[in-house]
Amino acid sequence: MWTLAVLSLLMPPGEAETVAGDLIEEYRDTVYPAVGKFRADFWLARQVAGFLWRAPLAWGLLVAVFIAGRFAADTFAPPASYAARSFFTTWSSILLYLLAGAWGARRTGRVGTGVLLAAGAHAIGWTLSGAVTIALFVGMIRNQPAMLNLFYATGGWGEQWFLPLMLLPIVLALGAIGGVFGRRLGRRARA
Amino acid sequence: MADVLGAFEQAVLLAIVRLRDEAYGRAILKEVQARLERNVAAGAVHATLGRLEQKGLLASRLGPGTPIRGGRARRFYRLQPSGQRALNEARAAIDNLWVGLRWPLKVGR
Repeated sequence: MWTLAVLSLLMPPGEAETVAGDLIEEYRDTVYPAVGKFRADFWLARQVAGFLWRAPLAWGLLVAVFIAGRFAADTFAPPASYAARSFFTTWSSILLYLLAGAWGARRTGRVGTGVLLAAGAHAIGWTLSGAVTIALFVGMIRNQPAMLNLFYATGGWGEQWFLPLMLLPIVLALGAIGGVFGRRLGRRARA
Repeated sequence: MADVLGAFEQAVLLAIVRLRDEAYGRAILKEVQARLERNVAAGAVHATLGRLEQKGLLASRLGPGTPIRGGRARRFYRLQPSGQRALNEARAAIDNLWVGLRWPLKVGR
């Protein structure tokens, strides 16, 4: 059953079983008889999606803090050279994705959880930081020529929309690497 | 003072108190939905149950499955003494806020 397959990627096996059982019981006992198969399937997908976005939320918020923080720092306190900041944000992001992958795989014993959590954190982080960028742009940057020049000189909207897509394969790989370590740690802890 | 409980955490804990021996995931979800009079995502209730159990306010045990669940086990939750304390403190805090005021409020001109 696909419900259990997805939930197994998000939580330890025993927990996934009981949660899937709860959802299936509600589906068969209440939702399906009340609204029919099509809407009941949609209800089930929505419930599983609710678990899907909550699992990487904390990691996504951390990613957003790093990206939006870097953007705000570059906007309001531009440095002479970006090298030190780039070094810090690049390596801290790498560490974050590795940790997200390891944490997830340690819980479930699956490398796939690491990949899923890293990808989810990436999506949530860049979506939130995109919202911050838009708010800063509309509220402040577009009205100040110096900030506007700096915004476009440091990548502009291209950086905001295309960079996350370009980074996605790297993020998936980091999630997988973290996942391999996390799975080993989980096995060791359970042994 | 025990943990400060949010409104949703209180709703979940009180659902467990009301359901007694029948407090498992789906029943808690339905009870919370009925009391809050709105749809609640299963993921939100599950995340809250996990958090409260981690804090030691709840304990859980596995029970047998039923055919309608495809035989999958149910996880039953029980309030711990620290959970009871936290609920009592949350109620006392709200009662303190209302001391001397009549409900429902009528804001005079």
